[in-house]
Amino acid sequence: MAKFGFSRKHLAIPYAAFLILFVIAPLLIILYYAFTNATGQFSVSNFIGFFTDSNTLGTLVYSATLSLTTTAVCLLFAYPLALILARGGIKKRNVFLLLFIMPMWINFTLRITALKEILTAIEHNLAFYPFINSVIGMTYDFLPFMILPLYTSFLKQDKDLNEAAADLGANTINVFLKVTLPLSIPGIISGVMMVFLPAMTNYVVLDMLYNSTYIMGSLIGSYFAAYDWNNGSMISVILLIIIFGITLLTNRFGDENEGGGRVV
Amino acid sequence: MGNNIIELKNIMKSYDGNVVVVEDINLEVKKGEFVTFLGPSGCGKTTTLRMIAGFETPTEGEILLDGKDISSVPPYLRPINTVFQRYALFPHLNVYDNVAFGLKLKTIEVKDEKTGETRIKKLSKAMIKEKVSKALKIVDLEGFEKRSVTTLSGGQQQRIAIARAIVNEPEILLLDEPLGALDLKMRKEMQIELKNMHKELGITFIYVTHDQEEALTMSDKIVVMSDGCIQQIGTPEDIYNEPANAFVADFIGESNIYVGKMTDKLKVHFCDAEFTCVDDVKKNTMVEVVVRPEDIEMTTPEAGMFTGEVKSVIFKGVHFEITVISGKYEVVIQSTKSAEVGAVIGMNIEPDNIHIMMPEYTTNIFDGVINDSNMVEFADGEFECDVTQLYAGSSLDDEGMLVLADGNKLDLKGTEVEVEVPINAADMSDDENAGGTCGHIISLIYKGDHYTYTVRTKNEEDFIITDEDLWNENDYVSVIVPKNAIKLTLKNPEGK
Amino acid sequence: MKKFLSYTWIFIVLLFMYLPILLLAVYSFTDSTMIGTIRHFSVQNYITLFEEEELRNMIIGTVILALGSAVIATILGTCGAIGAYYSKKRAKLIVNSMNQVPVVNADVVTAFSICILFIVVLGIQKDTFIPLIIGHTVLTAPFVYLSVIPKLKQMDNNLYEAALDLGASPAKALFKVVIPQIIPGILSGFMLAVTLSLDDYFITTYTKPATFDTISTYVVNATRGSRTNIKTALWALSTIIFAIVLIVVILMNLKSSDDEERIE
Repeated sequence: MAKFGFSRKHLAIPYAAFLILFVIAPLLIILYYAFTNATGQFSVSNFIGFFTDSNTLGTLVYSATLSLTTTAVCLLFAYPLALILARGGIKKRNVFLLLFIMPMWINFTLRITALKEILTAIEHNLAFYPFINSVIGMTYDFLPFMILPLYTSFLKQDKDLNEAAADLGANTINVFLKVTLPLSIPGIISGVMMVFLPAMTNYVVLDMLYNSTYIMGSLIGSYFAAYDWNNGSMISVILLIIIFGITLLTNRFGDENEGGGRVV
Repeated sequence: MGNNIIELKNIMKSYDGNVVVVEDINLEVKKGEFVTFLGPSGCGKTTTLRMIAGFETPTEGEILLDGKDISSVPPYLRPINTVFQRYALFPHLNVYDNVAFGLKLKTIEVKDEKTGETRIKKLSKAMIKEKVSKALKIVDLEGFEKRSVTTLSGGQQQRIAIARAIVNEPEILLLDEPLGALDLKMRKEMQIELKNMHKELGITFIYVTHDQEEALTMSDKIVVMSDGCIQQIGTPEDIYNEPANAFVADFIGESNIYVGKMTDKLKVHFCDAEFTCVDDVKKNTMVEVVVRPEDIEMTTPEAGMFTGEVKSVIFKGVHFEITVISGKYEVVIQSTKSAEVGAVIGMNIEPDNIHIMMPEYTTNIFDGVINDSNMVEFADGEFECDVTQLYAGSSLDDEGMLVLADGNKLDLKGTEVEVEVPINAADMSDDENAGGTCGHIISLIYKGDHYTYTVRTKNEEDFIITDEDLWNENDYVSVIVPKNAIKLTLKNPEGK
Repeated sequence: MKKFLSYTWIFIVLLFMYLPILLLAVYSFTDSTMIGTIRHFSVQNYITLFEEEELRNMIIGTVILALGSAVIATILGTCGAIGAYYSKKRAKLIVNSMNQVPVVNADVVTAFSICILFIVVLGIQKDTFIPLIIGHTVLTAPFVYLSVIPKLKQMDNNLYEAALDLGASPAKALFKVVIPQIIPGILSGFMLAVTLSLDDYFITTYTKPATFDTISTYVVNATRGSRTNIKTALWALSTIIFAIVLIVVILMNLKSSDDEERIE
């Protein structure tokens, strides 16, 4: 049908151009800046600097630990919750689900402000427990993003499978371990994706909780504040590699893990 | 010539340059005819219809509408409307707006009486309303204007789809398996209604179906298609009584198909018996014989032209279906009389009920190339063969060089040859490595004591193979050809 | 017993998510400046919120930015989705993959890369608002795209062909048949774009003019500042947003249960 002049597929051109200009090009520029020094010469010193400086390396390790802990805590809260909501025979479960999604529509800085006030009332000085406070803050912020994909993956599961497993002699625990859990892996993966990455980069949560610890995102923030484009780009490239790695890993588990969380 | 409304000339359609879905279609449709494209799914009938509608552009060939080539005219400029298989009613519009959709877009030229200039004008609301209610009346759904199309039953949606198409007064109405989604009873009713509508409207209908009964009931002309090609064009009677080949005979109605041989003028031998026939074919020709199950009369063993033992009897409502084993052949009979399982009966066939066809294939012919181990490559595989048959009196030496009769040596590598394999020589196996090439079975036809299979290889080379065992369509098999069954001839003997 | 445990778990998680917001809401109606110290009822915070010009401008600016960028994102993303959906496999794959980049990428990296493109490479000043608006569009358009694509997939492909068959030109067929079919996807894409933009912090910080603030950037700055009347006014803002979200959710719920009844 190419001969008709106007064709539906031509509509993709402006958007494709937009993506190339403002998504792909900036990433290429970052790549360029990451591998050049302040005078514009090619250099890998940014990366060497990152991986040899104990401060930055420490930030990477701390950031990863914080992310993993946050993700684990979110999973611990969200998995039973999602299972209960999807399977527990709860009345008005849609209302409950909405209650868990609703916080996503309230500006996260305002929510963190609320949390900060409470934590301050409990701890008096937030600086005493930076790690715990960070985990609480991030869990508070990201928990809905873990609940939603898990919930949808439980809903998608065919209930007949459980009955079939029970019919074949599996007890409740076995049904869970051999049917429910394996089938919820796509949901777990997309939930982890939704939490792990922001937990490495969303340094505002830490800032707002009067936290002096640094995560990977904070590094970009401080290089940005110092107009150090090269090192800022270098951190961005490292984060991009991490993101790319996680995406590759998750793609191996099938593409059906729709990112429900952020989309609601 | 003048009354052909649409003509397809050498139409070919392929996707991405290699998947050929329709090849070399030639067809003439007269004004007012009811033409049906009939064939199994994937035979190219819907693609052909979509090319007439304008949704697809033919890769080669032309489509003439009233003698003018329209193959690159977009669908919205063609005076042709389509009834889609799943109706494609617009769910956001009610019945009235669905039917009026085309009318609202239509423009007519109006002559201004004062200035004499022609102006382009839309149809008036009143006119649209009148036409819509007329169309709804034709499909028997008056008063449904305000209904939402999603609340209608399948049959009603079907009628709205027809009304939406005919309200535009197209020159041709295309119907793509329009009754496929309806239940049997509804389908029968709609068949009759469509036929009446065709008479009433007087426009050309082109109908696509895989249901042979539907085609026989409704059409003036049937186009039987298979594998992207037209197998036969004819009236329902022609197609049923005089099938052009085994495929048509097998696809339309039920048939007994046998391999036979002409023994004399108007005499044919099959099922181990000799019959008188009405088709005049040269003596000793190998032929295929079609006999419809209802054309075989049962009688006592003594009075029959041939005899057999009743294997099974199934009651089918109006008639019995009786399967008889005669020698190694299976004979299916439809009769209002029953028979007893195990009984030996005689059978008679009237001469004019024996339909003789020339077999399409007795040998497979391929283009091949000799490779360096003196095997021949064709049909996406390589086979052992006797290369010495290419040159009389030649032989092979230890190094694989061909020694000609005059003592000169010849390296055959790269020699292009024509390969012939008789259809009864090849064999199939489900071990992929057993044969020279592999492919999927794309069709099979039962011929009384054996099946004829078409095996299609990766690059769409077809191998015709006869086999006594039953395989299934889509089975992946390897093709085994014995060395001595491969006949080779040089392609350009005097070339190099 | 099982039911009891289920409800307990739901209650614990709900408590964690709502206690800070609700407590803040209560305190927003008092004249206390810290949680824990009980004082008297007061609506001073709400008065401040509407009287302080700085606060008013920031709220209006946030809303205008969200609506404006969402309109652009909806048009771009919808056209892109329609175009890509009807394109050849390869073109579709390319647009799909490019679209996925901002979705999986960390916001801070996206923000930093856009900042480099505009400010460092192209030399466009932040006070032009161009980097800010484009940044927000980059953030939100991919989600519009993702909510339109499923609607296109659900649509019967023959509908478009039927429209052509009945005499509609491709453009007319698009507006009269395709767009009405995917309108729910476009609307939810638009809503999503608005909420994402409202919630954004990073893109805004890295691309905004110095004098302009959205709720997020303002709140983050305010937590660093020492003006307690502003701090407690933000409690009022948080309470108002919570109330708005609650009302919208209830209204939507009533409407959808109405629809369900009508279908039954």
